[in-house]
Amino acid sequence: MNDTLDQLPGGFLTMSKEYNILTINQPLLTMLGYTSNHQLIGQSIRTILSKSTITFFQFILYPIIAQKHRADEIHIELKSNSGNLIPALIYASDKKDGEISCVIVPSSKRVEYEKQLIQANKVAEQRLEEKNYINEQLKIALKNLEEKQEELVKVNQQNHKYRVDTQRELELAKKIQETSLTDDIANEQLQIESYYNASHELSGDIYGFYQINKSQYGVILLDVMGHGISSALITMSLEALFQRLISKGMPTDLVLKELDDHLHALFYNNEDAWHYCTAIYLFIDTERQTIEYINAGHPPALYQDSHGQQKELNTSTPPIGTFKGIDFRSTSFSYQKGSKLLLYTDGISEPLGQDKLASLLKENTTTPLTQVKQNILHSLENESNHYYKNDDQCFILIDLK
Amino acid sequence: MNINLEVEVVNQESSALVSLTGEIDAYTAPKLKDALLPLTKREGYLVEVNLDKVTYMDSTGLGVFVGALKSTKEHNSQLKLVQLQDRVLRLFEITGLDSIITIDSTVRGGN
Repeated sequence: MNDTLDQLPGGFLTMSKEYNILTINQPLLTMLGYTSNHQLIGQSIRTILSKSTITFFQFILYPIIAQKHRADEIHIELKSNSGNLIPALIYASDKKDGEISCVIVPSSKRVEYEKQLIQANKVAEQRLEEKNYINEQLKIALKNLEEKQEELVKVNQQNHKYRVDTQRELELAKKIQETSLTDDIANEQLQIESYYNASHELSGDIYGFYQINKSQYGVILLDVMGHGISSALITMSLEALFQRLISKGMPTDLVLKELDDHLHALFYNNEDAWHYCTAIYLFIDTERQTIEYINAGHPPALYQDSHGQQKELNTSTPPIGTFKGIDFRSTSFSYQKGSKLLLYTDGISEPLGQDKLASLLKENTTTPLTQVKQNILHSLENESNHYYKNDDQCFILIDLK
Repeated sequence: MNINLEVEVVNQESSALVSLTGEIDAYTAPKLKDALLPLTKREGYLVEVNLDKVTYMDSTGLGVFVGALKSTKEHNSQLKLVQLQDRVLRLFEITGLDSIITIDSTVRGGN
């Protein structure tokens, strides 16, 4: 073996056509763990091959070389002197005399790289499978989402229809409630102007004024606890009753007592539905020029005589529907022609204040009642306290001629 | 509109102190009712409600206290309201309920 072959970066050997090693360079000896080429020269190539490679060599590699006279980059497994297996690539070619030259390059790193590559491929395939799985899941989720969206659209359409239907019903109910309100009165004895505004479509406030006979009038204003549909239903129940009681000329205490009894009966043993109601009822006799009233927990009505002197018609009993057995006692006083009365619910007095209402009445002693009403409304519009925007508003102005 | 109401109940042997913070209206009244009514159903119990931190109350809130008072009459318990702000106290005064419900207005917060 010349020195040049010993300087090669890989192994080199030649073997006879009987597979006996003829020459072997130093790098291959070192690779196989032999110290001298004498240990291998003359030995069968099988000495340095693994069992599987021996079979492979015999049945595949050697026939290839015999047929094509060369074999390139064939993967084999060498067996070292100590029995370790060394993966390698072999390049072989034969000569005319049947001698075979082999270049053998260890391929441990390549095998490792291939393993890593295979592992990376496996990971990539796994990731691809996961990705595909996730994509499938996303498709399912998307489909579900689309179905939910369709359901949502349907529900929204139903809700919209429900809202429209409900709104239509509420507007109809509002008309019915407002129809139950009595018309303003204007004659030679008195003039009555009213204002009624529900915070929602329906109001918990209700009023009525009735000419009982040629000189007597009954005026009532009630405010049912809360507002909205539940309160409005109760106002309608009360309205049917007080309209009948007052029109008959029933005494003031009996009017309140009947309304009180009605509420107690309405909510007998029904704590959850229970509502109370503030009320003020005035019985006006224009011939005798007297006013008899009962205030049951209602904001004080304002009375102003023709000279601008004012007094409050304060509450004397708790609201109706609160406690059984309330003793409703009326209070009476005489009035002068040219006097005015202002009845209101807390939806008016809370934003404006009772002092402001008193001032508005006093400043408009000789102002026509319709204008006084407009002045009060103008003051209300300028009030921005959010607390009270949500309450029903109602007031009644009376000019005693 | 702030619809929060905090209800804190401290129970003692024969009484309960209920401290309220926030606003009592149609939205929060059920919460107050749920806390207050069971207390008034304990015979001989004194239920003291501190309204110092109640900044707003409407007729629905007033209804809860009327209901609680009715319950005390049925169960022989007592209801006492303390430290009402002027705005809230005025509601009791307007409705005449200040003469029926025990209200300690000697110690009262401002608005």
